[in-house]
Amino acid sequence: MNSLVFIKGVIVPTTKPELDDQGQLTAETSGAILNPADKNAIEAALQLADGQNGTVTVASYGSADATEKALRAALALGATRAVTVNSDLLKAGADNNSAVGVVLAEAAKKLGDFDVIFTGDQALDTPQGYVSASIANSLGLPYFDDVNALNVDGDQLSYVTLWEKGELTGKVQTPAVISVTEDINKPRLPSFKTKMVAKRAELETVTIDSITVIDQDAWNQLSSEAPTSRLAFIPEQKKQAVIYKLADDDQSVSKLVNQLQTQGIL
Amino acid sequence: MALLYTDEQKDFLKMVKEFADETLTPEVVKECDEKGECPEELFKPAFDMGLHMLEIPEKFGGAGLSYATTAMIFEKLASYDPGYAITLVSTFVALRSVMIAGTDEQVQHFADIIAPGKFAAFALSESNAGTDAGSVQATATREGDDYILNGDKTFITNGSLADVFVGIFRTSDDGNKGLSAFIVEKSRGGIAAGKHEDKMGLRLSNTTDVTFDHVKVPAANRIGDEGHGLKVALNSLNLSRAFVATLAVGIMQRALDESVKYAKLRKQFNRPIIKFEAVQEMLADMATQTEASRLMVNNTMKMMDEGSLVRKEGAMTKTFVTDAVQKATSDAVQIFGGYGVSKDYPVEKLMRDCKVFQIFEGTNQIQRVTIANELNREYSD
Repeated sequence: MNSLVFIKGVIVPTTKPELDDQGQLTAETSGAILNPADKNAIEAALQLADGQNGTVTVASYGSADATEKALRAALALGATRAVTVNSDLLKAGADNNSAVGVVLAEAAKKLGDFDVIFTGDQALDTPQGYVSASIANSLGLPYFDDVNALNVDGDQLSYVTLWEKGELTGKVQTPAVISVTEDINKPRLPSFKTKMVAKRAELETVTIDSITVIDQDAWNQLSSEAPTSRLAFIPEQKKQAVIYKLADDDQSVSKLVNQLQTQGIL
Repeated sequence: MALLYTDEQKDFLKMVKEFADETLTPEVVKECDEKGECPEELFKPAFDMGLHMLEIPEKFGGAGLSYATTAMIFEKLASYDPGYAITLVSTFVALRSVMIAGTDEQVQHFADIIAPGKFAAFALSESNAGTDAGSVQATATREGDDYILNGDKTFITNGSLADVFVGIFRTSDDGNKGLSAFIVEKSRGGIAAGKHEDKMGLRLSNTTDVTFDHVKVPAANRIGDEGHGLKVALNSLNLSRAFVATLAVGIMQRALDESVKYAKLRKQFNRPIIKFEAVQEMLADMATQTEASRLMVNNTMKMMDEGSLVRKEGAMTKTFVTDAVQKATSDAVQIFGGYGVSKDYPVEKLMRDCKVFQIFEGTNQIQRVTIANELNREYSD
């Protein structure tokens, strides 16, 4: 099988984060490392490729240094092709994960046909875990998140996915987008030889300067949204209690539902 | 530590630590030490990582690391278990000995055997040919385009594991000039290993006698010219001396780590024993000797990277470091007191493991002869 794995170089704090005067979390950090869950995604892809002449393409979008480190680490693990995703479309909102997902989906479309697009379930620095959902949504592919076991079953993949009440099992026809947990496998250690080769391997580049995978209005709206994740102080919300006592219960419930919908809760 | 590591070397050391933490857990090492066994499956992850071909050039399937970097990695590995490390060192030193005097075809052939994850061995010693390597009795008799190998080799590291050997055999009665080196694949048949020696230390390392009984190898397997076998052996030993020294540094570092940790925890007279000057003296000497040894190994490795045969420096490094490790491990046991001699504590094994380092790859006595001979040569003008 041929897989595409989207990976991320993350900066890891080496000291306890503290809030600064601006309400921003600050901490001393190490250089970028390959996001831990992405190692599991790469391992899952390598296992699908092993012995079947399959390929594992890795691609990453982010700052130049973090991206290169992540890609070379992935090549050292055995990835066959590494691609830097460049795009100026998200200058103001690089942390807008839904929009990032669209850009990555566009990159996936440009990079070729893949049986599976993998991601880790979440990034260490922006642990929200919905880039993969956005990729799947943009490409119109089936999506399975928090996958904890994956096996080839004929021309399908059987999976186990975790949710709060237990496990779900099923089969999926490829192509599909799959995010994996850190429990799905034990990532292999790189070999010294692949590490040396990875150091000087050429990285490909794909540039995304327009979006075609979703319609333009949707993209304009999505990409203009504020970043969805910031290391920022969250102001305390005022608590408010409202009691609706209208003529009858139906009216009260209707009013309550209406109010919740207005606030975007329902 | 006194050595300045590059970012790449730090990264490699992190890799080998991660590997060893997982593969060579205290429980695994203790079990192998107690049983005196060398489980082959324990090496699969090492082969997958290419630890047996670190300093072999990439064109032959290795990682192409420098000797200096390779030594750092093996020092770290030896701090977990030097027997495990020497199994891998013996494999690549055997290949290296082919590289010293063989053709590219021979090197590639040898590398192709071990690259997927096989062991190799260097078969020189015999019951009456140890320090006196020139007195090898095992024979290689020419028959047309082949040689027929016969004889018994003793104390062969990886003896029963190896799929391929570099063996030194007698091709004529002309003393030291009558020896030749051969690549001998186990698949040729007629090779039998004896029992795993029940040794005091390095018990994980597989050491056996190996018998060659009418083993037919093509003349193309001869490494270098007929009669040049001793030179192949000695050049190979120069190299392996520096590597056994690096393993000894690993043992010293482990002795130091364990001793400092223990001395900080163990209290007598209401004070941690690290506060007592007699203990401090032992720890300080241990740390100083470890640093000096590491630097000496590093310098020799750098010379080897520059192409030097390190005849004198290899001998000096081996002698200095493997003598120093005896005191370091003995002092570690001393610092642990009564617990030091208990097998439930880690330091008695270090003392057992390090003894043979003064003996193999040329005794430290013959090393001093080599050093003196080199001095004599240097000062002859």
